[in-house]
Amino acid sequence: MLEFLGIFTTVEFYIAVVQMTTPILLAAMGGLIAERSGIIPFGMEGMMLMGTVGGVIGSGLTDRVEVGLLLAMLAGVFIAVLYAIMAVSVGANQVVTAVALNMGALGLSSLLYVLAFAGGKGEVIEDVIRVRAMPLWKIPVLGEIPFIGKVLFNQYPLVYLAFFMAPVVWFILYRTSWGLKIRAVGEHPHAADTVGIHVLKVRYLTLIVCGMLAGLAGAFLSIGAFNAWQENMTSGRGFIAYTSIVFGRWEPIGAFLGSFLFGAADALQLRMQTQNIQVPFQVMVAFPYIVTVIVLVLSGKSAKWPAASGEAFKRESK
Amino acid sequence: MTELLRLEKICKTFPGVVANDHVDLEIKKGEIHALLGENGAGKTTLMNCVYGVYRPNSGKIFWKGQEVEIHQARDAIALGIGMVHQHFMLVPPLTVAENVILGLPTRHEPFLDLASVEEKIFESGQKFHLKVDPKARIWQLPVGIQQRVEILKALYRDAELLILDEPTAVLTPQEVEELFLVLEALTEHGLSIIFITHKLEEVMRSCNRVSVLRDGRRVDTLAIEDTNPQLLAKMMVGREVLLKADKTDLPPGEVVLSVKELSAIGGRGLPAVKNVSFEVRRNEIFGIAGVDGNGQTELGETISGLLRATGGKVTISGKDATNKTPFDILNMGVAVIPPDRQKLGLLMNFAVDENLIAKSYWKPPFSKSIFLRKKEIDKFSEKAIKDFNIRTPGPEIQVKLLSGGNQQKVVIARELSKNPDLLIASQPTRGLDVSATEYVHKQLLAAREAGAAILFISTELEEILSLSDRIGVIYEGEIMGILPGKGANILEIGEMMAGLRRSNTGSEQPKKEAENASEASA
Amino acid sequence: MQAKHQPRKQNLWQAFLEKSFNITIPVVAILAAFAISGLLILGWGSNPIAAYKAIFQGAFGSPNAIATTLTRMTPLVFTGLAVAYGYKAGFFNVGAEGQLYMGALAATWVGVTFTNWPGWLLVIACFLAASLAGAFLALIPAYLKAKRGFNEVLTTLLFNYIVMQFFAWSLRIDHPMAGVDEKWGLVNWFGIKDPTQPYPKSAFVAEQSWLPSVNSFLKTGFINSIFGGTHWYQASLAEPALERITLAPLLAVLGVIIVFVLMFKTTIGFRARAVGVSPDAARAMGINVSKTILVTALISGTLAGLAGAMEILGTQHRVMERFLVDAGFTGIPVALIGQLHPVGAWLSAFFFGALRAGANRMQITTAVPVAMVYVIQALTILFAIAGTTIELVSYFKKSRMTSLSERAEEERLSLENNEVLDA
Repeated sequence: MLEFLGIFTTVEFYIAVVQMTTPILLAAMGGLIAERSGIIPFGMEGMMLMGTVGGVIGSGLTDRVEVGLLLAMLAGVFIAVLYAIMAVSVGANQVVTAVALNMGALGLSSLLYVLAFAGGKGEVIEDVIRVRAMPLWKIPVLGEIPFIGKVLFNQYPLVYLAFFMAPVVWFILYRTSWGLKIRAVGEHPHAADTVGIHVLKVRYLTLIVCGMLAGLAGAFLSIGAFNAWQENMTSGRGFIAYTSIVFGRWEPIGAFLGSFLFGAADALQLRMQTQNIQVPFQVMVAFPYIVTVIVLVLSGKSAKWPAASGEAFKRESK
Repeated sequence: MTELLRLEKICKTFPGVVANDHVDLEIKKGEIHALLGENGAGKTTLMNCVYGVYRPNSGKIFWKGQEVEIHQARDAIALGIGMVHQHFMLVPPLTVAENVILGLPTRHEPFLDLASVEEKIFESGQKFHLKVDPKARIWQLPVGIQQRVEILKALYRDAELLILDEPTAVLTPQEVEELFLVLEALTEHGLSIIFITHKLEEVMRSCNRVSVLRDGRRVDTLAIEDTNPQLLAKMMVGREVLLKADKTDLPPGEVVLSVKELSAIGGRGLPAVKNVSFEVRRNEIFGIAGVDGNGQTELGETISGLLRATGGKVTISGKDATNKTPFDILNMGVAVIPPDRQKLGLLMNFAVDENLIAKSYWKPPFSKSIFLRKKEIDKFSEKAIKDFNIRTPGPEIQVKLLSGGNQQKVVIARELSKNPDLLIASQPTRGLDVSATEYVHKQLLAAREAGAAILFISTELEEILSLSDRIGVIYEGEIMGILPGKGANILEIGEMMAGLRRSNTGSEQPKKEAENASEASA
Repeated sequence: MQAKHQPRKQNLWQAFLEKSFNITIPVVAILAAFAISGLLILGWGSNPIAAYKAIFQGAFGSPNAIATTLTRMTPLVFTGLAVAYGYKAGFFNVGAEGQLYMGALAATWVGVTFTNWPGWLLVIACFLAASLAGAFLALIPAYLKAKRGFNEVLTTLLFNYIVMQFFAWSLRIDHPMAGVDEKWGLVNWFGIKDPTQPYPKSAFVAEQSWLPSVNSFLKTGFINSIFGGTHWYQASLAEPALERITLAPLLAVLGVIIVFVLMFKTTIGFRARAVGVSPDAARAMGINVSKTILVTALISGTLAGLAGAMEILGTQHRVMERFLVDAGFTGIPVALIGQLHPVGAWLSAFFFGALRAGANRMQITTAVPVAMVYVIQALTILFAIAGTTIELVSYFKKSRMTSLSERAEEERLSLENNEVLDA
């Protein structure tokens, strides 16, 4: 038990919490924007997965992290646009489409990885290929603060971006006309349509933003906290990001807290595993999900699931 | 007063229906112009043409003397036309101010400047008696206030013409008074208003001029000073009843359905059925006449168990049937033809035979323990298809592939083949062509002769008159009066439907009067 | 008279197709997916024909390949049936993954605990435990949906992750096996880990609960006494693939038949489908909608739980981490490509199973990675869903509606004319 509590006294644990929160938070913010416009972002898992491979290829082939980030965003957007074509234009069932795209991304990411690093000869890549990863950016002055400086201000650039995104998304949703349009489209697309808002365009754009952020979230896993790629690297983090959104009842602040909760549980679990502590850490991992279910049940019918989420919009014919 | 909007020979047809037939209309600046007519007279369609929801097939629209083309709602808004639909186009979780500016560019794009919007809303509120808390969320507001938000939305877009589609249908009497104050304030500031309604009282009380539509054509446009309610009622419904069904004289039998002081709350949370009392006997068709949306659908649903009664009592064949489940009521020998066959009457993706047994699949001979018996179902459906002349390639065809008339035949076959004691037929001919309508009428009369008590709800006055033994007229959820069907005066009924007068055999002493009326018809 | 019946028959055939399932869309979707993947393989620098041939070889080329295909498809059949039955009644069960894991866990637990029970009893007990576990998991979201209007997609999805953690936890708690350890503490009741092993794995379920293979069937005295001397009998006995083909694929076929009967031939299925078509209409017809949702979820959860039991009793005989990846989630596309029809679900599970079975051979012989199979699957799903959606939309555009009813009218008129002529 003492060992267990000991985890909480180390700086490393808190650094891990921040770093485990980052990819979930980035994806959750993208997904939140998409879902507020009425598209269930189940496809985030696939977008993130493509982000991981995009990042590693870009960074690996050019030895420049920026290229990796760019490629990661493009890869995420690729899945997002496919998702938009199916869910927005065709009006297909969003959950099924997402399952398909996640499956496809699982295959495609492996194919691209082999293509990039084995020259298309289909050789099985035996060794782990190391690529250039993101450097830590130490913030002047703030980074010098003991403990807090190490945890918060000596981090990867994407960490800052992720934590910065939460207030930005909140601001966009509630303080700009873009956000107003997004919310209107997600709640009552027909009403939005009658006042001249292009419903399909809004949904395409939010999904593209979602793809970019989820792609970056994936890149954080492959060239941020790590410097190599492995198959199915996200291992369900896209779904965790979605659960964070549900936990936060579709509010940016709530989704931020949700991501943090999942990130902390993840970090705790990792620490416990590395220190070989015999406490059932699965309880820790399951804990945020259980809390999410409780939050959902307690909030009852007032749960703010965007009213039009999951439904395709079709204008009535004249 | 100068002309603001002029319609010339507007025609709009839908497959099989002429909704507007060469309609001319002129709206002057600063007037409240009533558009009066029964259901299906083409009022809403005409206004949807003006607002760009529909494109007219032919005809011209002039705005301030200039010919204009209106392709979509956006074009109408840009011209200065605002419309408040019966179903509000508001986003419930957003605030009043957010709804008002939705879709408009803000002062400093893309940043929202809600404070100035709220101020402007407050000012308009002062000016036009449209007091609304701009920070309130729509779902928190009562329907009457939501309607104000819709009006504010139009005003914020600098509307000069406001079209209100049956605005009082969703309001309480008090809210109606407030609305009239608002409308007066608006016209004082030079706005014009088109007021779609079927209520004569409101036309007389608040409008400057009135145009009456009937069967898609404009009958006349009159200044209010030059007319009176009786004249308007005549223009609205005035015509000879051509349709007369062959009906045998049958003495009514014992009471099957007895409704006493029944009340229910409708979908909008407002009282839809108020203190309704009547009885229906064997071998009798009791018609409920009234303009759509006056609680007749809710009345049917309350009796058939789909809507909770908040007061009163329903008795079927002597047994209490108040607030029983639809299943219990089904088992009391009640058949129901619901008003919307595609939504409630049929399982559209199911086959014809499955729909035919949808209310009896669970009992012999159609099933044995949990297993359906294909042979019995086939036998029954073959017979029903033949007996009721359902035109389908086969019993396994999905009903959604049949024509409307044949779909309704499936409903009727299912409901009547079990020889019900009571039949609740709600708008059974809605959307059907002439031959299918005639067919339904024949079936209703056959059921009457077979001994059923029939509650026949319809917004088509002709069929009420030609089929009913007695007629109850419903207006705003209340029975205005019960009249014998034989020799009923269409004008009298028309005035009652428009809320103009209450029959002297009204519903003050409902039970006694109902009995008197039934005796009269006997 | 001939003319009188000809058109009617044709339409009945058409009607049969309408009521069963539309096979055109999935077939076109599969062909399109293969075509596009073929381009990808070409871009890869390999020969698509050779790659597909390798997949086919790997899936059906030898008895062993067929055994692999059957093994892979069996859990997919059950999860596909689970999703299809639920979906048909408007209950979108995204939780088949978790229900499968719970089913497997429950079956294994029974199988390693009651080791002294006779085989037939133990098998039944395992299946029962798996059904109950799956059904229980589906029941909570169904209750929330029926009584409080919660979206079941969210709740079933969340339950997956909770269950996965419970599963992982259970794998790490020593199971108090008879003879090894007698500490039956409360926590240990939920443990499944084999205490003799260092890794999170369970022990093998008692051998009498393993589903019999074709091989063991051949070894029974009865068969032996009849065919014992023949050459092919000896050859069959020597064939290792026949040891891998168990009763499970046959049970999957049985499952398809049972679900078909349940769906289309019973009052339970009638109610479920009615609620799926329109809850409002179903209610107006006297159907208890919330009860129907509960029953539907129970059946759906049971099927998903059985998928886990099939894998344990038929193939793996014990649980470990990630013992079966994505079979629950794959049930969703399996059901939808199968047009929500039990037979369709079987066919699409067969397709998915064959693809997965043949993937390794493709990688070995043509250097196209196994991952390509995921792309083919994804494309198939996307095309099939797009096809189904667009077809549904065209229904609402009424073009088909009127044309078909007009045709019906014409035909009826011609029938009547014939009758007049006959008379």
